[in-house]
Amino acid sequence: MNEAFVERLRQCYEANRQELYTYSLTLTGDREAAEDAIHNAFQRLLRRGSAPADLRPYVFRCVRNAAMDHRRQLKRREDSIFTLTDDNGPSHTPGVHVELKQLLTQLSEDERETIVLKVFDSLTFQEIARVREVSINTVSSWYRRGMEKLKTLWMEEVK
Amino acid sequence: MNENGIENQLRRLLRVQPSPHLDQRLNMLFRETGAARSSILMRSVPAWMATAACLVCTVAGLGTRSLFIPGRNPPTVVYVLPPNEALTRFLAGPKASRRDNFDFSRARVEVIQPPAPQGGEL
Repeated sequence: MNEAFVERLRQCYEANRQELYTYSLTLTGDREAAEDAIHNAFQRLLRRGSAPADLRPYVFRCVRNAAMDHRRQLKRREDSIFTLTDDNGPSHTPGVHVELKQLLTQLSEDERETIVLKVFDSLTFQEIARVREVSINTVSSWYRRGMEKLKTLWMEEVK
Repeated sequence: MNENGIENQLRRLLRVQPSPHLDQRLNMLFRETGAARSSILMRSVPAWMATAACLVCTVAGLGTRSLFIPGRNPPTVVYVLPPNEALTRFLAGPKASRRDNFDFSRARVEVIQPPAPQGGEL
C-alpha cells in the first residue's frame, strides 16, 4: 500500500460521500449503522491495500458488504434515506414527494436498491451490475420492474 | 406520470446527509493509515544492517562465482615421437600456418628421445 492509494480512496470518499451514505442507509435502514458500514468498508479497503482501476463500483460493493454485515448483526430499523422536511423549490408538487417516499418502501429490496443506485447515486447499469455481481439484464429488469411498480402505485394513489 | 417523471421527482427529494462525525472518522482513518505507512517507511532497515547485508551478499557472491565460471584446463601436452624438430616448430608455431582445427597455442610440446639401443646384449 502506498500514499497514492490512500489518497485515491480519500478522493473517492469525498466525491461519493452522499451517494455512499444514501446507499448504505438504504441497506441498513439505520443512520448510525450506515455510517459504521462506510467506515468499516474503507477500513477494510485500506487494510487490503489495493483496488481495481475502476474504483467507484468496487467501493460501492465494499460498502454494500459492510452494510449487509451490519444488517445481519443489528435488528432492522427503517430510517428513511429522505429528510422529513421537503424544500424543493416552487415547482414542487405538494404531497408528491411524501407519497413517493412511501411508495419506494413498497418495492422489493432489489428493486429499491437498484433505483437508489441509479437515480440517486448516478451509477450506470453496468456499474450496478458490478456492485451487485449480477448481469446487466438482471439489474435493468429490477429497475424496470421497480419503476413500473412505482408508476402503478402512484396511479392508484392519485385515484 | 411516466418513468422519467418519477425519476425526476425522486431526484428532487432531499436525502439525509451523513453526519460531520462520519467525515471526522474517515479523515482520521485516512490520516492514521498514511501516518502508519510513513512510520513504517521511516523505521525501515538501519544503515548498519543494510551495509552488513551488502557485505554478506558480496562475499557470498564472490564465493559462488567460482562455481559458475569454469576453470582453465591444463595445457595440452603433445609428445613428438620420434623427435622431429620441423614438426615441433610446426605445432608450436602460429595456427594460421596450419590447415586444421587443432589449437596448440597453449600446448606444451615435449620431444621424447627414444631410449638408446643397448648393444652387446644377447
